[in-house]
Amino acid sequence: MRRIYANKTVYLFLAPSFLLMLLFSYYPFLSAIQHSFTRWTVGGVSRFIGLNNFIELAGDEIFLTALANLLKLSAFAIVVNTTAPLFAAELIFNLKSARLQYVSRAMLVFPMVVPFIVMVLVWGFIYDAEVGIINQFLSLIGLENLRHAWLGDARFALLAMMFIGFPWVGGFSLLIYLSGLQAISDEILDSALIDGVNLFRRFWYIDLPMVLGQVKLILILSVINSLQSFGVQLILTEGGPGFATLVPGLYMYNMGFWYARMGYATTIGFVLFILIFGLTYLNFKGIKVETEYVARR
Amino acid sequence: MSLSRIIAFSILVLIAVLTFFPFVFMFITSFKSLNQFYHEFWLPLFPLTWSNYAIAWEVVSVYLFNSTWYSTVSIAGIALFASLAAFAFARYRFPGDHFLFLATISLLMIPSVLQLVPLFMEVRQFGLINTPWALILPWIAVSQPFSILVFRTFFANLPEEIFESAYMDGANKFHCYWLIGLPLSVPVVITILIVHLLATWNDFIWPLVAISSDSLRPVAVGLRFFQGAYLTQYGPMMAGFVIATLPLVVVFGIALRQFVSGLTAGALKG
Repeated sequence: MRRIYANKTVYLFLAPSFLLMLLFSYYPFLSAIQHSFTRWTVGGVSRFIGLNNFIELAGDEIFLTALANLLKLSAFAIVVNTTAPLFAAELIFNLKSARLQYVSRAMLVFPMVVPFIVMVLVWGFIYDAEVGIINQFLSLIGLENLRHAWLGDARFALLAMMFIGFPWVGGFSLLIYLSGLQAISDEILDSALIDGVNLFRRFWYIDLPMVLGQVKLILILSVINSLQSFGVQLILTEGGPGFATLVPGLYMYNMGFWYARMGYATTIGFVLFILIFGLTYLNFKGIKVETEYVARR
Repeated sequence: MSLSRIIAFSILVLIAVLTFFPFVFMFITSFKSLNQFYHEFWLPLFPLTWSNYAIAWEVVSVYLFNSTWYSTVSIAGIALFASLAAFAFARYRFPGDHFLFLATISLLMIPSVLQLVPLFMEVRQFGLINTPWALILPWIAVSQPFSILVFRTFFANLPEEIFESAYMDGANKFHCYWLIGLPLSVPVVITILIVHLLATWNDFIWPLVAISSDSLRPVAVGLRFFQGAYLTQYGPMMAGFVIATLPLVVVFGIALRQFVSGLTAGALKG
């Protein structure tokens, strides 16, 4: 007790952070776990119903459709978000002039400062059925019969979602990869040059193993991000047409804020949490093995 | 210049063009009247239709003003509270220090999607829904774990001697934080400010549910409603997009070097 009192200033330092985290992080987390086992009305009344929400969810066709969409979207997003910036970083890294390197880096970081909402709405315009950039371009080169309502047609909507942000190189991941590449010692690169190692082999045997830590970081971040985000769907399609672009996060949002089924909504959130937690854990384990493998070879 | 380098450079240029084209198009279109837009889709046309900007500014400026003050208060709170807590974790041993630190970083494993519905119910119960505090307080809270982690790494690496001599001169713990620790951590502070300026500025889903009056909306949400209202008036719509983009571009232009070095350093150490 005396030791706690002796450290009272230190606890005061921690107080503002912990007060806010208790109220707005820990409490909603515990509340989510608890209420996923209840029927929870928008008025705040909740009643324990055991595993009923989970059982209903397992047989919910709409949820399963949303989950399938999410797995397709995420698999694609994770692959392009991990590889495309690495490709661009490698191109910049191989520029001879330091000035050109700086300019290209500054340019490719620009998409990061475009507000998310502007990026999404501009892509909505690109896909527009009447005056969208893609359809106008198709008309321009005489391929009018290929014009489509890209977001309004169930055959293309999910694919269109995937291609938002093309060529996916801008921003944070590019910076992380570049800093990783720039940390490779000049001696290694020089000796590779003297040995006449070509660019592709150097990438595979030197650069890639050296930035594996960065790859892992980006991989984990994009798993977490792609599985839980649904802002693009909410803004552009609201999950439609039909359920073609619906994802579990958006389904949760609809259940909570349109159908006022707060308990069922938190159950969907809980399942997403388990999914993200599991995949992040696998990432941590899986990649460590791969690093050892590369090092041993 | 070898052939492979020329090819590599050309691909880089192509990537840059593809990345920038939508935003260049947005900028060009923001200066066109509807007639000009239907007359010429791709190229800029004169005279420039400046009135698009007047129309867009009328609506979007309110959202911009809101976002500016919500984000400013939030990032100031984030940096202040996180640096205080991190200073305690990094420089002092006290009962429960390990437990509290583990409790902090374990929050990094919890996706925000899980907290959305319960947070809404809670904040509404507090009577904060549709007030700026519904955004600011949760934003500060969710940013603590990452920021504390980054600050703690920095404070833990400072040499003990600088603090010892301060104690000799009669400084207390708060003096050590306020007069020595915090001023030394300015590069970390700037990193934390910029990362969370982007995060709070771009948050869309939480402000959408937490704020219902149009006059209180931040720009991320407000622009969505603006776009809905000007759906076929492409000039004003695009002018609104440009106006919403400019503040971050300006901040970024001023702090480019800090931004790039701070982000990568912070991310790798964190």
